[in-house]
Amino acid sequence: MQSQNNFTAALKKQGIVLAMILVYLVFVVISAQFRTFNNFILILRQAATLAIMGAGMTYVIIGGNFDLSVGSLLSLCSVVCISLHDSIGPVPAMIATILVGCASGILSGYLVGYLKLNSMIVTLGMMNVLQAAALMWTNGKFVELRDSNAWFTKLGKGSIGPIPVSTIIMVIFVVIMAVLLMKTVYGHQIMAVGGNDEACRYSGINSKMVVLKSFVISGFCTAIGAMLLCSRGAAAQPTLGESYEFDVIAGVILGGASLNGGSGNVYKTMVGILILTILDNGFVIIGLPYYLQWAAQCVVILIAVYIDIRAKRKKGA
Amino acid sequence: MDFKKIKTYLSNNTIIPIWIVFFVLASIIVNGFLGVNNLFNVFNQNAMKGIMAIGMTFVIINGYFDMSLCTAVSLTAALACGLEGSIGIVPAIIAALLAGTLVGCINGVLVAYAKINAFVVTLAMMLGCRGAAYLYHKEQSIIPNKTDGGWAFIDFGAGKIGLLSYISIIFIILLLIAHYILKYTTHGRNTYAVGGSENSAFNAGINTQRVTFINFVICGFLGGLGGVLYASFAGASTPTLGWPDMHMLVIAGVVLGGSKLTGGVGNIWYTLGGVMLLGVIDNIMNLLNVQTYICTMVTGMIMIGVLYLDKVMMNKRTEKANLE
Repeated sequence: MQSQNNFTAALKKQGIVLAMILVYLVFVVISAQFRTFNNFILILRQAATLAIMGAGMTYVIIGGNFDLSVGSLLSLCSVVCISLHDSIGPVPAMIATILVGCASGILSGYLVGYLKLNSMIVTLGMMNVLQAAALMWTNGKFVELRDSNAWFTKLGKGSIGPIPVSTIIMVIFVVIMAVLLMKTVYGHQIMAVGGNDEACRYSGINSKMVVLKSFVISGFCTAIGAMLLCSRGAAAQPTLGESYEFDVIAGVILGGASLNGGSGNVYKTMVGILILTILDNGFVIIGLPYYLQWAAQCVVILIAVYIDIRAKRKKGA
Repeated sequence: MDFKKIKTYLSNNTIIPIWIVFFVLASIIVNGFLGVNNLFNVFNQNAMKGIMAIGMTFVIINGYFDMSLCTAVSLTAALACGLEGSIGIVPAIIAALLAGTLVGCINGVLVAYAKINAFVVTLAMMLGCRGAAYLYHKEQSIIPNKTDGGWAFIDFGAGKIGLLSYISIIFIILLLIAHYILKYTTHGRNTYAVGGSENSAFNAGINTQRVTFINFVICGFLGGLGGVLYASFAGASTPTLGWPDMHMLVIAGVVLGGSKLTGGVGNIWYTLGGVMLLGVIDNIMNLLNVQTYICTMVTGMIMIGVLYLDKVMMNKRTEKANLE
């Protein structure tokens, strides 16, 4: 009896994973094309960029803030990476991309953490600034690599055995981020700052720096995501990342992070993002209009969050 | 003494000095800014955004915000344009307004009664409305039938009395109504109380759930009205109307005016100031022939800058209050 209770409790904690399996199975039953192994790999490949960005966003949201600028930052990093690739070589281009991501993170982190401005409006402003920077960088044009088979494109297109390189990078990244959150001092600090900023300051945590770092992590993750995305297409356009921020935030929400800050989980965010990707992929494959996926996402998010809240309330009572 | 009074008044209403600075600088630097025609133009152009911002003000004073506005706009615009051919223009507009209200109701029920985080609810509704709007549009623009009703609809959007467009007149009337509701009715006072501290408001015997619900419905209704007016202004509706950042511009307008996202602070004239400030910035850059990309960038920087100024002025005030 005891063990059964433990089992159901453990099962309840992993509700989002069950939900992912359920959504996957529904599509498996409906469509023969969906259940092929190739499609499974394709879903993993599609999810890579979003999952990596989601890992960064989880930190920002745990700290009690939002980062709406990731979509524009994704565009900017992609065009920077692609256009510098041919002129200064792949490795310097990748370093430059990461620097751009981190610089944007430092800027919004400074504004939110040190100047205590509202993160939503600040990152909305940053979204405009970065979008404009991306458009100015390319003059609004589409940029592509001269050689579309350069080794850089293997990041997004290549695979080791059957498993895509981007999926491997995604898994490694998510594991590192999860360990950083669960096992390091910084991880505990960001949880504490999100939970109660005031109390943290009294206990001697430099909460300003902690918030700044969370934005830098988000910027860094977005830069990595951008590299995977643009290397897959060997090209980029300045509005590539438009509205990605909502997908990323939706994934974090599905992963059960509290939007008031203080709790969240990187690997559950990845699962949340995978659900969104499965919906995206499945709707296209079974031939429904692609826009129905938004309606489906709406329903899935509301149901998932409602179940989550009910479970938490029961625990409280 | 009087000077001191003015000073405290200005630092209480930070939008006024910000406006004065912008207005004076723009009048000096920008050719053609200080003209009756141009200023009325700015007002007319931003009236629709202003109408949506009125609804958003209620929700923000209540301590929440509504992200679903951007796609609710395209849904209601689509209904107004699309149903016009089959059921006539007035029923079509009523249907569109009802759809907006329904979105508001769903938001309100889920936030107030089911107690789900407002960001999550309205983000999900944003996706839902986007799906519904695309479904109804079938990925194409909808243009009202060129019947009498359709023409009347488009004429209304373009119509003017003197320098004010019909839409601006609706905006002004709604501003006055909203001011009355916020300032002089029980619901308005309750909204401030709930936004300030939901627990205290509940303990004082206010039905906080109903107040929140009503505010979301108001926001949904005005969002729907904004959508209908956009459709009549443009003479058509497209599935991408309002996407991706209409709600953000509206929220930014309300917050730049001086209402606080934490709730409990705000006022309808702040909203007017904030929305029109964004409009004036746009207008100045158009008059200066600034490239669109730079225009976006400057708008973003000014958003952050104004927020910073507001914060600095607020801090000074609280410091002074602490000293006294």
